[in-house]
Amino acid sequence: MTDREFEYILKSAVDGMPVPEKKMKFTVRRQEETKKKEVNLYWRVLKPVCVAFVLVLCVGAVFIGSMAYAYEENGGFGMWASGSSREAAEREFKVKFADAYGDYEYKYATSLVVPSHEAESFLDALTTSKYSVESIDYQIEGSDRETLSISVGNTEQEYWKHYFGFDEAGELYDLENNSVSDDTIIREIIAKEIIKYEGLQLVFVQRVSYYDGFFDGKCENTELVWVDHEKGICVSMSTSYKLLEKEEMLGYAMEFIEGYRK
Amino acid sequence: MDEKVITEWYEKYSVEIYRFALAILGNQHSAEDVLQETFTRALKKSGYYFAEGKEQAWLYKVARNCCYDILRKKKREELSEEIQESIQPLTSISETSTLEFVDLIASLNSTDKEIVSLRIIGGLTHKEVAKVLGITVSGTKKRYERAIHKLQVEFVEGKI
Repeated sequence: MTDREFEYILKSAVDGMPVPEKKMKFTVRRQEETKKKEVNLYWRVLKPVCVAFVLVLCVGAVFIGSMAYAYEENGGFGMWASGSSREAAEREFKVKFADAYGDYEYKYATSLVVPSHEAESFLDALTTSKYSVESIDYQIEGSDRETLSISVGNTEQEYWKHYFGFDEAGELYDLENNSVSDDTIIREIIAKEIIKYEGLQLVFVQRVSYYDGFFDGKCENTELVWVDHEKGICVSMSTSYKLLEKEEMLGYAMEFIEGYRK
Repeated sequence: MDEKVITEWYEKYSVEIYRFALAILGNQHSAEDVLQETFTRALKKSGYYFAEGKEQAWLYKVARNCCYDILRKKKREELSEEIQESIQPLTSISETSTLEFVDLIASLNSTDKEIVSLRIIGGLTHKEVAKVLGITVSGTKKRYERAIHKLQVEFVEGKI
């Protein structure tokens, strides 16, 4: 039997499916309109109050963030995170994020900004940035932990190598942190492979981290990182709390690459 | 949206949208709810205009969202059931013998189920399926062919 013949069987099976029992009557419109008017009266008053409240919160958040930076001006590298959107990320890097990759469904987007460390004041740091990344997170329905995260940054600013873990030549992904340990964390790379695809070099890594002294002592994750020099972007696709097979991870990456190359 | 237009759409698409919801949810009562909610939402959308034939994909998109709302609600209820241990389970579609299509696609994952259902029940093109699900056309084609082949093999081997 061919696939096409089986398709015919499926189509025939549809005819055996039941039909809806109830016939719907369209009588809801007037009721809905009445409700809408009532809501609008409240909304007219609430709307300016809400807008003002959000504005105050935004200004406050920027002020607090700026002050925090000012206090840590001489500290190490840090990042500012703020809410973003898929559309904004797509516009910035000219890529396309799907609604879902396999069972991972879109959850939220985050803008990550590494402020300029040479800035002389927090205001200076606010207006100039060393590097910025858009990170889009997908999660498996019903799970808060199993995440697929896609981070995209440009390759114009030199900081991209540091951010994505590449060496100075910008060619090789840093795979040397095998069995690295410190007081609390031991990381082990359990699989690594360089995959060639459509002129790109995709680095596939499966990693397990053990956290000593935490409630959750083990975290498994899979990463796929590649640089698209033609497009001027570096992409990191990684999972949390789940090891994915190479084929599945590569499938998601191929879908993403096809999305921005077509 | 105009009640007359919605009534026409209902006449034209209600059976296939009901069957699509049934394939995704596997429950007749929930499928009825999805059907009703889909057309109620369509009714509330004022000022929408569709070129002829384009409304079908949009209705499927709305129906799909309704299905997900019900699945989310069901998940919350199941959680509550575990605590109360007193609520009767919903009648599963697999308990009836006439719903062969649902059984045939039962082994697929949720996305592939949607793709196969939209193609077979709704007769949507790959482009329309891609629009409804928010994935690429090539991705839709690949997943559809893989899913059909998988089911065909299982069918030949007598697993379904």
